[in-house]
Amino acid sequence: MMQPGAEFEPRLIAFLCNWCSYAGADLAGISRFQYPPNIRVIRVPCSGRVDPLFILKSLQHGADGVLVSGCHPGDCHYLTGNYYARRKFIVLKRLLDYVGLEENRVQFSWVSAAEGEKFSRVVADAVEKIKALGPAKRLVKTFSLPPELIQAAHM
Amino acid sequence: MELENQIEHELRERAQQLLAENVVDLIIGYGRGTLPNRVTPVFIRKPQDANMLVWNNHCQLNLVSYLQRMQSSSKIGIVVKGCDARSLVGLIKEKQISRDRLHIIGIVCDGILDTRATGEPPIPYASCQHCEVNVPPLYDILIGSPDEIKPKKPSELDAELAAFEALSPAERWKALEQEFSRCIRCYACRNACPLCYCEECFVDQTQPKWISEGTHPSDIMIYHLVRALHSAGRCGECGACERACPMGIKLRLLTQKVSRDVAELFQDKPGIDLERPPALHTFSTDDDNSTFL
Amino acid sequence: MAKDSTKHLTSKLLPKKNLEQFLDALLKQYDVIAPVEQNGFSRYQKITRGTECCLKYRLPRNSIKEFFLPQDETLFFFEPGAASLSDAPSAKREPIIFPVRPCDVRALTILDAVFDDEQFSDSYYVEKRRRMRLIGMACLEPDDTCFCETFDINSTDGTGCDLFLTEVEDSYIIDVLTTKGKTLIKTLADAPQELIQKKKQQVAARRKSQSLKLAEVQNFLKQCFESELWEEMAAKCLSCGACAFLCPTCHCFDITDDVAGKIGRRLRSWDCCMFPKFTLHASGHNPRTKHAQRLRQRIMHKFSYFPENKSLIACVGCGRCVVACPVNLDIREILSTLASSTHPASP
Repeated sequence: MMQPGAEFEPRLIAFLCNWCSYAGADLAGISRFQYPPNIRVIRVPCSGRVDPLFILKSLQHGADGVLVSGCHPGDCHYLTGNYYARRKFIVLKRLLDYVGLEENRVQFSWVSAAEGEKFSRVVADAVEKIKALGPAKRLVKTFSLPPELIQAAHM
Repeated sequence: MELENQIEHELRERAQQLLAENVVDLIIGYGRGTLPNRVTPVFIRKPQDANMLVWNNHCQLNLVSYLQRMQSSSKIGIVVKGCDARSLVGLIKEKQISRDRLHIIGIVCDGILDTRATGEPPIPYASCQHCEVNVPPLYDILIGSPDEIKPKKPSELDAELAAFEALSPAERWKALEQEFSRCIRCYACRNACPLCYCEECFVDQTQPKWISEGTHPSDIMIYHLVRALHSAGRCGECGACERACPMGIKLRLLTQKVSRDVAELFQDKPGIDLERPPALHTFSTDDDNSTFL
Repeated sequence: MAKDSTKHLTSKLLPKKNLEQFLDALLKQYDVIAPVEQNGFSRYQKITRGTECCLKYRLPRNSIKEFFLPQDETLFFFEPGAASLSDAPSAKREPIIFPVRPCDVRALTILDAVFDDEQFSDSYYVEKRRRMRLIGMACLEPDDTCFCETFDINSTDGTGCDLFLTEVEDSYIIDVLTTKGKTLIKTLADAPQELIQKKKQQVAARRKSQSLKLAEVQNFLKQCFESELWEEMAAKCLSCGACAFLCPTCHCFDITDDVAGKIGRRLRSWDCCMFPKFTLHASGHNPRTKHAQRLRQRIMHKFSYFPENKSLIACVGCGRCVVACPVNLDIREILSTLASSTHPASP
């Protein structure tokens, strides 16, 4: 549970494609580019593998934000996976904004294996935007609990 | 009314002929329902039964959803409105049914009346009021005359959608939660949709279990959002999902938004062109990149 | 479930114009569940003001079963590492449903037979049933889709309710049927004799709903499990759960575990024999893959298995499924088809 007065530290799920963005994250580490420790990385074969359902499930179960990152358009390891992903995510992003899930709760980027520095910037930027939004509330699954469990739920 | 009777008359005649000449061995059409203002699907196999077919402004079902289970018929005649034909085109494109097995009986449609609206005179469904596909985009025979159709205001949003769009994001979220609080998860919307044909819907999967049973608002919201996304670039905007809903949920709020975005982003209107791949099954290297950092 | 005497204690008068006021008074002490106007129908839900109650439609789209067997019911909560379970918080105020039609009251006796018989008693159900107060209302006119007469339901009889209203001119005559009901109408005046007389006349002259030939249906069901009719009748069924979920007597449920954050709950939720998943085995085998098999199950359960096990027919003729079926697959038509099939002579 957040201590009163403490700064809100969001939890982000980052879906990173194996071939570019995950390698980019690796490079950021090797190169000692600093970025906030708020992301939990899930490695996927391709940004095209990321089902909108994964993003919604992350938000439902405690992520304050989601970052999806893949190879730059034209550089997909599978040639076209990220192009399909791009269409899918534009539609998703617009729908989420429309239904009233806050803008920036879900963010997308292209980071290549050579862009360690960009990766650290993207993460810092994403975390900052989500800090500004505050903890996720909409879509988060909670129960109406008996009093004895309310404390436990937040531990 | 007279025009409709004429259509009905011609429909029966043509159907009888198709069955008698063995062009088709089954016709899926509308028949008289058991309640006023309702029709029900009929499956006709004998020429003498063709007079069971009806056509009127209550033919709200999208019969295309029955096609895939009719495996035993080699050639099927199916009665479609413009919007129904759009979903049919979608199914053919997605290789769910072969064009060769179909004899499409297209009907020129001027809109279906909203049976839920209680006012007088009855008004057409919201999705019909702005419909610009009065003539099916694909047919083998066409019944009715396109010249008789009153012009519509296609690109305008209907009042309910416009009112929803005008709300703030927080208000929109609240309004949707309110709307979906009536959802009983009967899946009539999914099952009435010809394009929801997955052998196992994600909501029914148990490994992993994507959403829980019960009616937790968060789970229900995910179901409806994902359903809308799955129909992106495919939805023929027939409105069958919304009309099937026993709790009167305005599913259009989501499906129409996705359809409008697809039209705007990819200049595509699903189910019109048999050759063009569905918008989300393809891409352009020039697609909008502004969403990506 | 045992109720106290069904004999009328007395009759009270409630002018229609005072109905909202009456509900507002109840709301001070109770949770009131009443029909609320939606888009072309009404829906039972908790109200906060008497004006929300809408009596324009005879039967709300949903049935009252969800207040006894909720679609989403937490049986208990659990947390990792904890040695004990926690009960779900219960509502503080006692609930009242207004108005309940006699068909729905009959439906409760069917649910009672499942959840509160001599052998098994479901504490979650029983507790809700015990707390609930029912204010019934007579049907002097049926809807087009009503067929309660088939099941010998007297639509003007308030048995099973705490209070029972009958519309007479611009008033309701309220029969007080239980002591629990009596506490709800303390401030109302007695009904004048002439209106009580008038009520009796009206009740005698009530228009009865459609009555279907049930004996023949049940006859057919005994011998025709493999009939081709099932395929024919189910051809248009979409296999959605609208019929079962709106049905006041369908009571199949599923029990699953559900998690939110660090807390889990055991969840009881409605299930439905129209869904293929209903009978899916862990092995992957499914004994009911076809629409026809599932439709047959639904009809058989209501009109054959349940009567065999419980001596009650699990249908009350409320017609909700008739109204709500997206493809107009009408249970009355199914019953008529089945009934006529017992005579090989008739087509």
